[in-house]
Amino acid sequence: MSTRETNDQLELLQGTLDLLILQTIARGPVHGHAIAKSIEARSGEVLQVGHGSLYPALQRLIRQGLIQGEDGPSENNRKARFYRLSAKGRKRLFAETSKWERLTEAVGRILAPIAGENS
Amino acid sequence: MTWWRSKREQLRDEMQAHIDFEMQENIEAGMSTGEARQAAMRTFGNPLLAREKSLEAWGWLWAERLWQDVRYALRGLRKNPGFSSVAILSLALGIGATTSMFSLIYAVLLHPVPYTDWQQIAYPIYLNDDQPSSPEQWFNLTWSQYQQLRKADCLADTAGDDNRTIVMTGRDVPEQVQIDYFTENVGAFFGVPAMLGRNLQPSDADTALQQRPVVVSYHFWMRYLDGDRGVLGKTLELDHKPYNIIGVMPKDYTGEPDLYVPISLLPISERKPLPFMRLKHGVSLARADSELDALVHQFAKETPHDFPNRFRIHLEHMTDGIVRDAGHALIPLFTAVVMLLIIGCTNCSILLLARGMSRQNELAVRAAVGASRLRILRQLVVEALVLAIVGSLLGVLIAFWMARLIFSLFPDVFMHESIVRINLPVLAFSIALALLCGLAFGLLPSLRMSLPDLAKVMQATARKVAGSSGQARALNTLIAAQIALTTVIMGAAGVAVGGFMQMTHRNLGYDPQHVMSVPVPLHEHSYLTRETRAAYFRTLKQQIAAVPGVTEVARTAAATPPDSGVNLNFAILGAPSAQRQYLRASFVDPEYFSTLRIPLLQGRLWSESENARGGAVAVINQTLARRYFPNGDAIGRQIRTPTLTPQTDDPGQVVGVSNSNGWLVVVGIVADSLNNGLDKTVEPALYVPDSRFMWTETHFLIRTQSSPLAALHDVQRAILSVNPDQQTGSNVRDLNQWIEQQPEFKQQRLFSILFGLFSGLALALALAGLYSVVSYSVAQRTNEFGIRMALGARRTHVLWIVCRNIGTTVFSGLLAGILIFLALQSFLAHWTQNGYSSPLVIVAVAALFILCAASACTIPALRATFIDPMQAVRYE
Repeated sequence: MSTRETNDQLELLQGTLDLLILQTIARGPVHGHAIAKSIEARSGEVLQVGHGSLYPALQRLIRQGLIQGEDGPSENNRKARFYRLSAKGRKRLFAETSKWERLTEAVGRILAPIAGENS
Repeated sequence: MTWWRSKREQLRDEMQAHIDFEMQENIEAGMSTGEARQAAMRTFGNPLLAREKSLEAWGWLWAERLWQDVRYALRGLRKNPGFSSVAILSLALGIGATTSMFSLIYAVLLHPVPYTDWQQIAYPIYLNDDQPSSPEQWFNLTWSQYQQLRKADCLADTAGDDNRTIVMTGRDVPEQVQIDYFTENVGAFFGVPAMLGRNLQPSDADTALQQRPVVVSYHFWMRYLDGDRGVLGKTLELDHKPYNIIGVMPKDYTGEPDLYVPISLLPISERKPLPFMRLKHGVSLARADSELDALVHQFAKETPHDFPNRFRIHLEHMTDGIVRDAGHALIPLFTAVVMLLIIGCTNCSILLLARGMSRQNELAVRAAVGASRLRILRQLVVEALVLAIVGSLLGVLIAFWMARLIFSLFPDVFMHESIVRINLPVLAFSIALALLCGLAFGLLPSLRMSLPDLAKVMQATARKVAGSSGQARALNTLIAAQIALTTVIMGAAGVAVGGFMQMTHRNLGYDPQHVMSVPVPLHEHSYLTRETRAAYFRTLKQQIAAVPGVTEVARTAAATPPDSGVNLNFAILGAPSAQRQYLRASFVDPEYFSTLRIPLLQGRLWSESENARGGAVAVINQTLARRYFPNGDAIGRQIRTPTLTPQTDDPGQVVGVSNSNGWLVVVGIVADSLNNGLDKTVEPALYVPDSRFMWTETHFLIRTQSSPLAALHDVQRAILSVNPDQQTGSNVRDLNQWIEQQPEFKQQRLFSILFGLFSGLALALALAGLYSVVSYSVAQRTNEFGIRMALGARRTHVLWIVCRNIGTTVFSGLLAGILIFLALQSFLAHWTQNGYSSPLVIVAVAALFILCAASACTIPALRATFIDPMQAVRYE
C-alpha cells in the first residue's frame, strides 16, 4: 500500500486495496499487471498502487479463499498467472462494497456542514 | 519444504512477468530499453521485499527463518569446537543425570509394579495399640476367615498366598526353596501373564492334587532350569513328590518366592493365607479400614493368638512401603542431579556470555544494518536452543546408560518389579527439560547481548579493553553461583563418603574374615523334643567340624552379626524395673565367642554340658554390664526375659526347656560386638545356651582356613551324611557379604558412589567454566597486556591482574557455598541417618576446590604472561 508522493495522488486507506482488487478481478480472470493498470486507470490516475505491494495482498486473498490463481497465456502470449473470484470472494465483494458505501456516505454527511461553513 | 520452494519460484516468475509487461508498455510508449527497465522497476518497487511479504501472508516465513537460524547456529557450533564441546558436554551430563534419576523415579515411584490396576491393590496390616512403637504386622487368616473376607462390600476381589519353604529333592544335594501357595485366581488378580506356558487358573483348584501344577519364577528358571524354553511339562521333585511345570513367569514378576503352586494342595486346616485385596473403584482406604476393622476383630476372637490384645486394622497400598524406602533414597539424589543440571546450565550461560563478548562486533553490525532487537534476540535464543537440543540428545544416551548402571549396581535398593527403561514419559521429560534449560541459560546472555552499544563497539580502537561492566558483572555472578552450588554438592558428597568410611572402618567387635553362615532348616514336625533336636544339631555340628579346612564351628539362632538378637524387655532380680528396658537376646553355643573372636572380659562361658541340658546361665555384653550393673557386680546376678519363659502353645516351632522358672544366672561378660546394625550404637546383649530355645532352623557359623564358601559343598556333604534329606538354606553367605547386605550399608554405598560421581561431574563442569572464562578474558585483553608489558609490567604482575579479578569471584562463590552447606547440614544428617558431620569435610572440600580452581585459572593466565608485546599490540 505504498504511495507516490505526487500531490494529486492519494494514499490508499488501510484495507481498501483488497476491496479494489476484488472489484477488479470480478470482471473476469486477470493477471497482476492488468490489475494494477486497471486500478490506476479506473481511479483516473488518482490512486496509484505500488505494483510490488499487489502481490502480498493477492497471496492474502488466496489464503482466505476469496480468489484463485491459475497459469495461462497473456494477450501477448507470455505465461502469466490469472486470478478469478471464488464464490466466497464474490459474496465478500458485495458485503464489503455495501459497507464501504455506507461508510463513505456517513463520513460525507458528517463532513458536509464543515465544508459549507468554510466556503 | 518443496511446496515452499515452488511457491517462491512461482512468485518470482510472476513478478518477473509483471515487470516485463510494464517494460513492454514503456517501450511502446517510446522509451529506450534501459529507461523502460528502470521505470518498470521503479513502479514495481523492491521485488525481493514484495516476495518476502507475499510469503509472509502464508504465515510460514517464521519456519524458514527459524531454519536459517538453526543452520546458522549449527555453523557457529562447528566453527568453535572448543566452546561447543564444553557447552554440549555440560548440558549432556546435566540432562543425562537428571533424566536417569527421573527414569528411576518413574520406574520405582510412579510405576513400580507391572500389575493390572495396581493402584487399587492393598493389603491389611494391624497396628498394635498396646505397643505403639512395635512395627506394623501382616497377618494370616484361616481358610474360613479368608472366605468371609472375600464377601466384604468394599472389595472387588481378593487373592491370598501362604509363603513357605520346601525341600527340592532328587538332585545332587537337597536344597531349600521358597514356595508360595497361592489362591488359584492369582493370574487374573495381578493380571500378569506367564512368559512361557500359563499362570495358575481357577480350574487348577479341582485338579491340584492329581496334577500338582507348579509355576516357576524367572530367577528359579534361570538358576535351576538353565533357562531352558522346553521345560513345560517336565517335572520338579519337591519333598519327594513330582510337580508338573506349567509355566514360567516373566522377569519383572519377581518377589521372594521361587515357585507358585495352588493353595488347594494344602489341607483346608493348614491353609493360612495372607490376603491381598483389590478395592472397588471409589472406595477410599479409610472406608475400607473401618469396614474391615469390625470383621477382623471378630476373627481375632476366633484365633486370639494370631493377634495382639488391642489393635487397629490399617490398609496399605502395595506400593506404600517401596515409596517410603526408595523415596528416601531417591529424593536426595534427585536434588543432587537437579543441582548438577543447574551447574551445567550455568556453565552454558557463562560460555555464551563469554563468547558473546567476542561477538559484539558481529551483533553490532547486524543491528547497524537494521536487524531489530527482537530479530537478534530470536537468533540468539535459537542458538541456545540448538545447543540445548544437541546436548539433550547426547544426554538421553548418557541417561540410559546411567540408569542401567545405578539399577544394576544397587538392585536391592529398589523393588524387584520395577524395570528401568527409557520410555515416552521419560523422553518427554528430557525434551521438556532441554527446552527449559535452553531458555534458562540462553535468555540472560541473549538479553544482554542483543543490545550492543553501537557507537562504542563500532569504534575499532575501543573494543579490546574488556567487556562492558554489566556483562562482566553478570558473568561474575554466574560463576560465583556455580561455584557455590558445586561447593554444596561436594560437601554433601563429603558427608556421604565420610559416613560410609566411618561405617566401614567401624570396630565391629568381631572378626568376619573367613566365616560363613549356613542356615539349616528342619522339616516340619521333626525332632519335636528338646533332647532329640539338640542331639541332632550336635551330630550335625560334629560332622561339619570334621570337614577338612574347617577350623571352628558355632551353632546359633538369631545371632549372626551385625544385626543380631531378638529384641526383648527384661527384669533384673532384686532391682526395680519400673522403666521399659530392652536387650537383644541371642541363642548360641559356647564356641560362638571363639569362632567370632569375641573376647571374654570377666567370669566364664558356659560349658558344653550346661549347653546340652539348657542350663539357666547367660553371658552379657559390656554395654549391658555397664548400663545396668554400674558397680561391676554383674556376675552372679539373675536376669529374666518374660517371653523367654517356655511357651507351650507352639510346640512345633520352638522346643523349650520346661524345668525352669526363667531366671538366668549371669556367668560372664564379653566385649561389645555390633548387634544393632552398622550405623547404630551397640545395644545391651544377652547370650543364652541355644538348647534353651530352638526354632525349626539353626545357623552354623563356620570358620575356615581360606575362603569359606569354597568349603560349602563339603559342608553340605557332611550334613547329608547325617541325614540324606537335610537341605541347607539358600541364603548362605560369608560374614563380609552379610555386612554388605545390610540396608544401611547398601544405602550408604549408593549415596557415596553416586554423590561422589555427581560432585566429580559438578567440579569438572565448574572448572571447565572457570577455565574458559579466564581464557576468553585473556584473549580479549591481549593487546592491553601487550601494552602493559611493553611499558615494563612484569610477568607476575600480569598474572596477578588476571587472577585478582577471577579470584574475588571464586572466593565469594566458595564462601556462599560453605554458608549454604552449613545451613543444610542438619538436613544432610537427616537422610544420611548416621549423623556423620565433621568440620574436616568442608575444610577438605574448600581446599580441594581452591587447588583445582587455582590450576584452572593459572593455566590460561600463564598464557597471558608469555605474550610477545610487539605481536600483542598489533593483535586484532
